[in-house]
Amino acid sequence: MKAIVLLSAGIDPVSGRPAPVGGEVRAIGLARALGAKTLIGLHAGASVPALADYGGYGLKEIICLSGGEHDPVAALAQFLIRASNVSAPDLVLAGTRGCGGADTGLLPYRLAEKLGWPIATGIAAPLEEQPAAGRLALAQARARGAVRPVHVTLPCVVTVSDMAECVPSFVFADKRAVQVRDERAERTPQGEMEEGLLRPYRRRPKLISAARTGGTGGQLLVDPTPEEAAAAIIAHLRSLGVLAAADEASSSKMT
Amino acid sequence: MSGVRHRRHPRAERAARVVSGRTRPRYDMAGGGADVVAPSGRRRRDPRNERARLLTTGREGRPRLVRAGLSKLAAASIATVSSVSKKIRIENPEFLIAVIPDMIDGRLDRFDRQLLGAARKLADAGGGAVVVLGARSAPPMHETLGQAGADRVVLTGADGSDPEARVDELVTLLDRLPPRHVLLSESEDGADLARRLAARTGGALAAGVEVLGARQIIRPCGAGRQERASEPASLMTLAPDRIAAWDGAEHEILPLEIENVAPTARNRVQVGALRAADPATMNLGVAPFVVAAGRGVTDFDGFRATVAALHATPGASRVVCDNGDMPRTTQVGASGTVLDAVCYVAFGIAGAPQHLQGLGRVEHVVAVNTDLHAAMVKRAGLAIIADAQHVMPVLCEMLAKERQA
Ligand SMILES: Cc1cc2nc3c(=O)[nH]c(=O)nc-3n(C[C@H](O)[C@H](O)[C@H](O)COP(=O)(O)OP(=O)(O)OC[C@H]3O[C@@H](n4cnc5c(N)ncnc54)[C@H](O)[C@@H]3O)c2cc1C
Ligand SMILES: Nc1ncnc2c1ncn2[C@@H]1O[C@H](COP(=O)(O)O)[C@@H](O)[C@H]1O
Repeated sequence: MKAIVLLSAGIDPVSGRPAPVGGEVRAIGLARALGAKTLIGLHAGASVPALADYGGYGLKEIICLSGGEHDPVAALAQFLIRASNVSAPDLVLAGTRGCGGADTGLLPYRLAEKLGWPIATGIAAPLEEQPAAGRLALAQARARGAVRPVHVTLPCVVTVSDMAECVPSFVFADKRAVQVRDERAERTPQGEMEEGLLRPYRRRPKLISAARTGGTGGQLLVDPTPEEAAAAIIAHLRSLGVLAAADEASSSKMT
Repeated sequence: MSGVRHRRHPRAERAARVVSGRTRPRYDMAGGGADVVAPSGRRRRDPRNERARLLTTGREGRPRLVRAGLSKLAAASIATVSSVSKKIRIENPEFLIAVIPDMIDGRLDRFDRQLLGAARKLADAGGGAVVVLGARSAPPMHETLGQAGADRVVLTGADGSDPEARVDELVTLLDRLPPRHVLLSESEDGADLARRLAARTGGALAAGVEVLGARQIIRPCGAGRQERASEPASLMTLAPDRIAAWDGAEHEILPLEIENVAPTARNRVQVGALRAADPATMNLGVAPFVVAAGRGVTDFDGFRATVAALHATPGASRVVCDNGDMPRTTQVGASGTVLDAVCYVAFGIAGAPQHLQGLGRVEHVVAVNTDLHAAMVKRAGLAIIADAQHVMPVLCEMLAKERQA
């Protein structure tokens, strides 16, 4: 399988210095977990030194489309259509959100639309049982560790969840060995500019949820019998809804 | 020296206050509501008397002082608000605001209500109406929608299992409406749907809006170091817990004539049903229910059995991990995992600051400890002062017995 990982030149949210983006690093890990034979990094824009960091996470080759920063979607789509004449990629992986730009996470969706490919989003891992060739079974990450199976036809775009655990280890020697190649993108007209005023972020208070203020109000049992204590714990956990009710528990055991 | 100094004459004052007609002498010390005139000729305030006059019963029977002397009016207005509740009707709206709530199981959650609150803000600024696009498979209750601030409801046929079919249907519906703004929430499903819509229509998307007004929205960008202020976009997603839900009068849901769209399956992407994670092996940082052991636990087989019986994720304090009684991956605290759990049960954990740091966002704590003065007992919503070794086996037994019954 041939996979392409989309790399944005991101920054570190704390220091503001160029740094790899978590979702894109995980995308490299997911491509490897899917058993991609060739794995190429693709960046729309001029090459920057920070891109070499992705090499340390397992990319051998990174292609930069210089001049593509005006309209990344068009530049990336052109490259992929051109590449499909030679050897078509089966899979394009991207992070869920960029870090340092508009950070809308819209680029992979736009690219999928432009290529006419389906898109599977927020993926954490491949599923164990894979369907026949031409389709891919993936696990979509959801809150509280839950997953949702997603079946998607190839070729497709996949965005990788920031919660995915497939973070590849960093190898410094690989970082030094990576080839970052510049390729001229065809001139595309400037994409639409975002209107509005850009300014430093101001932290604003969040609304306080009503649920959090209405606490249970500290209940204390001093030296109860073990039976009383256990009954109190079970009742309390049931009232919080974290422990299944007795009839549910017994029915789930039977099924 | 100017003039005579007026002196009070207590006996005469008292005589003036005598209430006649009784055998025993009685005095009216309140002064009948009128202000007292001091012997100097200055009127004197009687604060106690004033207070009694201003006192009314406010909300929830709490005493309330109405300073403007409107005590009677205030009482009347409270009465009318509670007895007459008129629904707001918007018959001929200037424009429409579409809201696509997540509505898991057809219920409006907190974020969906905030979404409707934001839509009301935009609509009320110019006489617009709020249209909710709900799913036909789990239709929402009109009454709850009206209370949350919706004016119209449109039901769509496609569910979430084929996201592309759902987007096709929504795009056609929105074309027929067409609304001035479309609002979704920046939750997992809402965020995905909003981006699919934006990509399909080719329009702009204002993602994760934190401040919303009729003229301006503000959203973070640039790795959360910058923000962009602009006019409200045609498609927006709202960050959770930023914009208040609608708490005004109920709106009346009026019918809306719109041609239904038959969704056509595309089958390129198929999303299955949600599978909850196995608590025993789940990542501690995302687990909803954690049961942890500290040095007060000596019977670790019993502890593991309790965790399994409760269907919880196991945790431990550092001392326990250092001793090798539990694996290092289960350590909770500053040098372990910070939890995002709903509930945390601590057996024999003292609650050192380094450990409590790991409970950052945990709402409910249950502590079992022999020490009444342990910090964990102070943090707990339910604290049990008992030996963990005695409580754990009984807890297991009770749960096993319930399961058999
Ligand atoms: C730099 C640093 C980082 C640290 N990071 C962490 C961290 O990430 N996580 C962490 O947990 N700790 C951490 N610690 C250690 C922390 O300071 C405490 O030492 C540790 O949390 C104490 O664990 P404990 O509560 O299990 O043990 P103890 O402090 O010994 O408390 C045992 C408790 O059990 C009760 N008890 C005793 N017998 C029973 C019984 N039979 N039944 C019921 N209760 C009983 C006692 O009353 C007591 O309250 C860190 C320390 C340092 C210096
Ligand atoms: N200039 C770019 N070149 C290549 N990939 C990009 C570029 N910008 C964004 N991406 C990819 O699109 C994802 C979402 O980015 P964004 O839409 O900017 O939030 C990122 O995680 C990257 O994988």
